[in-house]
Amino acid sequence: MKKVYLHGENNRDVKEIEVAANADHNLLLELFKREFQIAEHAGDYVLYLQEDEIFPDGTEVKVEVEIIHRGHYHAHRCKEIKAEVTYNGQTEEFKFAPAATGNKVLKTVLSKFKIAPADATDLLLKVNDETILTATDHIGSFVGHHDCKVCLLLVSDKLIQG
Amino acid sequence: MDLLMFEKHISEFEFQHGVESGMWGLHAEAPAITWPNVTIWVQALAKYCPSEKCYFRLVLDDYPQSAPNACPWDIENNTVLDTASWPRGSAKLYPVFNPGWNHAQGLYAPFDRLAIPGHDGWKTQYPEYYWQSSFKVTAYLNFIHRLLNT
Repeated sequence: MKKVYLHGENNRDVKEIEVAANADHNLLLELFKREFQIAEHAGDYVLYLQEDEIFPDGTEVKVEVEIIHRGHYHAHRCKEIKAEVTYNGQTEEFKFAPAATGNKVLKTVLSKFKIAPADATDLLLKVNDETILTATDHIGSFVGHHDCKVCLLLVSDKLIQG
Repeated sequence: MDLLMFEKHISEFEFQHGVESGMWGLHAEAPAITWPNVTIWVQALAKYCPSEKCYFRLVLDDYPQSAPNACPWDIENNTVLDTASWPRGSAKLYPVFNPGWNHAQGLYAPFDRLAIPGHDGWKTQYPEYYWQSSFKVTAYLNFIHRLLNT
């Protein structure tokens, strides 16, 4: 058996499942639809490996070696996610695969805004007032397939005041 | 129920990712969970905790309906960390790690059950931090981890 993690469209839950050693693309997609309760005719989902590769049809599920880097899959109906990121009143547009992690998104955004990582320890990406995009979140988990778009804010972590 | 929910949440990817990444973990050298008390370490810059791990005792009864209470912890003596040793040194850290507040029994943060009463304004001021029953302990740990690495 292999342990894999499933991330889904517009859903922040991460489902941990065990699959047979010879599990393939189709089985994983079936399990995804079951775990995320996807309706029968909900459209065509594409399965992605974490970060940006499409997980090809007919491919066997990778053996999980390290839980951080391996065994994460994301099913989404968007081929790419358009992200508008605003920082200090300036807005830039980005395109990411649905399985891009918060970590990758933040690094890309910092680079575009020419902010050195050492100067960014206080900065975080927010999806809205209540939600922080964490390093392990997939950006597709915050986006539906109707517009395939999300607006993010790059902000300083708030100072707690009484 | 509250212990079961806590055990479920720490078995999930988000907490386990933090463990694998060295961001936090259950204290290994003593029973980490003596419900409702849980001892957890959080990785920190050495300027805040010389061992690069700050320990906290979390009180978690009625979790996750009620917010946790977290307090810097002296694992040698199994007591609240001496206030002289609380992490200090940054403007962002000080309001949260304020040993002069509430007899050093918790962190001054919208995640903490001791700090929430009397701070209704935090609900709109810090909606991402103000404890909700849908939160998991990792939300609080991420907050502490960020503070201790800034």
